[in-house]
Amino acid sequence: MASVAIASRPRAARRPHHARPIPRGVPYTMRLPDERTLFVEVPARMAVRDRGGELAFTPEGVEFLDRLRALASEVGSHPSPALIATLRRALGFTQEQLGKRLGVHKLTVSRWECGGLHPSAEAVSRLRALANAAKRTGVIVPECAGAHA
Amino acid sequence: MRGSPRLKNSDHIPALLKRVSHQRIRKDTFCLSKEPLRFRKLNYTIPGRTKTTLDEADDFIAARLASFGYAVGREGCLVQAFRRDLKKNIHHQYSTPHAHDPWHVAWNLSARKVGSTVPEETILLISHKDSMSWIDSPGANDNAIGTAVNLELARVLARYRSRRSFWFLFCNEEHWPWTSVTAARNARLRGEKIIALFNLDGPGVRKPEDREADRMTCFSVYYAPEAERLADLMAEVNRDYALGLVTARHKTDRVNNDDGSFIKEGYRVAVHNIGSMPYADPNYHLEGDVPELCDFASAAATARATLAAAVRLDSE
Repeated sequence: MASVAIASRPRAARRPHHARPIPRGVPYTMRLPDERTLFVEVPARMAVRDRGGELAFTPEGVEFLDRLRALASEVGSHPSPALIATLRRALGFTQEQLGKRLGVHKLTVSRWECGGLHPSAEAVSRLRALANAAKRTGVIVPECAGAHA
Repeated sequence: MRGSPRLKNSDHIPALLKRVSHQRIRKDTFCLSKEPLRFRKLNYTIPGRTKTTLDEADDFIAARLASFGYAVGREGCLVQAFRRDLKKNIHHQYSTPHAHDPWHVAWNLSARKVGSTVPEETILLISHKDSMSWIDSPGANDNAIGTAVNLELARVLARYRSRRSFWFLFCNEEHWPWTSVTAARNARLRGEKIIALFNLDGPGVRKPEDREADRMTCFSVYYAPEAERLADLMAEVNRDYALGLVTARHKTDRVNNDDGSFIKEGYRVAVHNIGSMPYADPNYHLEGDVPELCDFASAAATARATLAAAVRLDSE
């Protein structure tokens, strides 16, 4: 019998690690300060693969997670400057708008966020009330809009 | 499960069964669906209160679990309230929320009991604790009563020295997305070995003819063939301990409910213990689902059967 050459099947080109597709929502579980955890699906556009193929979040993704962390956390008696700034953004306020809500000048809010000034107990209490109100009414999270697609 | 379990290995079960209190189940159901909390949802806060009714319910459940000696874990998930579509069937008027509807954080509450000899194997008891987010229903049968049954099982098992680990999970199924999806996914990522799952959702709801004939019923609904043995075990313990239930097993073709979230993650030995099949509550997903209409005797009998089945599995 004459030998028949069998053409070998062409191998699919192997994708480099960093070119592997990113899932539509990247699951991420973060630990909150009080040992609770918060699970979030981070939109794919906020994630990239490094050279080793590991997923990493873009600065936009990190900021998104920070905002959610601030919303899910309790406002303690001494909120950090970063928490005040992140919470303000999560609630959708400018410094001026937050200042009006708390009865202080926008420059005061700016100083809180820079760490130059600590908010008074009364201001913290009002900030906590604002955060709790947001928990009750819910918060628009534009980044999660893709979750319905 | 290996073969037919033997009674002599499980003779501590009758003592545990005696501890199941129908009065406690009743009291907790009323607390969660009438006074002080009429609803358990993220889009309703009692006027003058600082927390949503679901957050208040979480505090109630966590406090009860802590009083039994459990450390309570909280796992948050972003969810939305369902919208209501009046064009749909009255019992199924939930509809997917819009992309720009508000988001809330809903918490899965977990209490765990670590096993003494086979701690890596877990028996999971799950119930959803929230009420309907699209309608003002107290959700007494769906599922304050299942939550109360799960709490009662956690209480009874608190001092029981189990061989395997027990996981009591209180999740949310009337908001979107279901938080049991996250719990199941994270269980798989942790490599958790769940050998059996009992979903307590709507226990105690009987068909009118069963109520008239004073028959207490429990259907064990399962999807995967691997879970058939679990449904059989429910019938077996009912017979062995004379629990007075009429049990039936029901194979479903749909992966659904909170047990379905776990089935999709590969945890296929799962049953849903429900009072009737098809579900016979005329107030299903309606404002009239109030605790006064709950059948606590039937729910307590289902609690005992679930307890006996879980402990028998643990004793094997």
